[in-house]
Amino acid sequence: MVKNIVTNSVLLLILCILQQYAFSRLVIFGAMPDIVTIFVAFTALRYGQKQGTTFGFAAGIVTGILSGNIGIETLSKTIEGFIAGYFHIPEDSHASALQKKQMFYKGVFLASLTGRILSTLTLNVLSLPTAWHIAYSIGLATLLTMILAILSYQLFLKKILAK
Amino acid sequence: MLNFYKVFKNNNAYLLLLFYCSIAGLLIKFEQDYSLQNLLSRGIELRAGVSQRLSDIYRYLQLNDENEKLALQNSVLLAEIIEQGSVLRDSASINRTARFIDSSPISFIHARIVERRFNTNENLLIINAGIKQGVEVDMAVMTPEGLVGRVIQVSNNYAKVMPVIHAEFSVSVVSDSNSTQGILSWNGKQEQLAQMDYVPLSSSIGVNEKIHTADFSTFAIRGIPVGQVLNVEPDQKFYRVDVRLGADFSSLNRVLVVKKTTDPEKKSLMENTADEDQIPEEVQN
Repeated sequence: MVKNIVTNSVLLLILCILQQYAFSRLVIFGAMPDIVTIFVAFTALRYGQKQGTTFGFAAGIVTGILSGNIGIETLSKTIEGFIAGYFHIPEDSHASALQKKQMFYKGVFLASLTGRILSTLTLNVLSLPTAWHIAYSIGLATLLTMILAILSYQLFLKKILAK
Repeated sequence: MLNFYKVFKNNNAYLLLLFYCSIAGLLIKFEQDYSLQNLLSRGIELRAGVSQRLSDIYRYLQLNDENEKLALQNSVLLAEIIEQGSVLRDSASINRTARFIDSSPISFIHARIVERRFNTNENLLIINAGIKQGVEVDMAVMTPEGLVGRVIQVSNNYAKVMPVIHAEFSVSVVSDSNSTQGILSWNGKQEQLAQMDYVPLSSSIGVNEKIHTADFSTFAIRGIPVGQVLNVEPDQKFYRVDVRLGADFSSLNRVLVVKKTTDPEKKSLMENTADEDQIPEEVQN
């Protein structure tokens, strides 16, 4: 348990840094994928809602300190973890690989969507017209996060969730 | 205590969410608080430090291109020196230029952009000069081509700059040839185009006129080049003026921080006047 917490915390820190320096450069029409959301959703799916919420909170604090928007980041990431927790897959679950995959995608999708809606409601630094702002900040960002989630699942997470 | 524990155990996911959201709420409320700002500026320091290392590596790999660019820039500068020489010989130009020379000298702090974010969440620049180098909040940031932005936060070695292409940015400007005044802001559409507002229909502003910062800006000294008028269209009460910005935000690398800020007494007086008269905030800039 303690080992898991330490491993996940270190991983979370690495991903927050990666998000700030690598994924934030993959900007398409002002939107970018969010690897931290995927990790928070994955933690919630694997370890439960409480752990997901806590990891979301921690992720929000770290990304908030790095980005300068500590309040909004903390709030949105905490809620992302909580939402993804509804798709928790217990370790002794008999769900098939397909069901686990669906749960993962649903969790990431809803978490990302909720997080982006919260950020969008508070920030519009490019002063985009409302329709474009929603399309870029919610729609496109969620789509990019989902693409990254599919890649992450196929490359790494599939094996972990299959255990 | 036992009851509290039971309630907590039964609803702990919701209570945990409530607890964390309350903390997040407090963080939002006190984001401008000194201690939190201090923490955030350390965050900026850390982020900018790592970015600088990364960009140093990138720059090292790009040195060849950089050298070629510098050689090209040198030739452009040489051409400008020759051109300026002929202008200076013209006595009329000397007289016109003399009007803009300030009594106190202006000095610059050289800085490099170590972090640049232009997306829907963030729209800012971080430069590698901070308190230790003499940078202060509200100093103007520019390139020889034009105004880049305004310092909004400083840490020891870095500063956060709100660029001209930010929804909340505005600055008082004046046109070159007929001194038409207005407020420059950005409507979020095109990166190279800003808008000059409050230009009365009675003014005779024209296309291709150069735009500079005006004397009554709360952060920029007068005379900083901003851009060139691209289009002038009459609206109901004012002209709608499009200004092509001088600074190219797509290839910004090195910037100059203007060490001279506006007189604090003047700034304070202008802000007080604005509060009393309820002038929109953008008009104060």
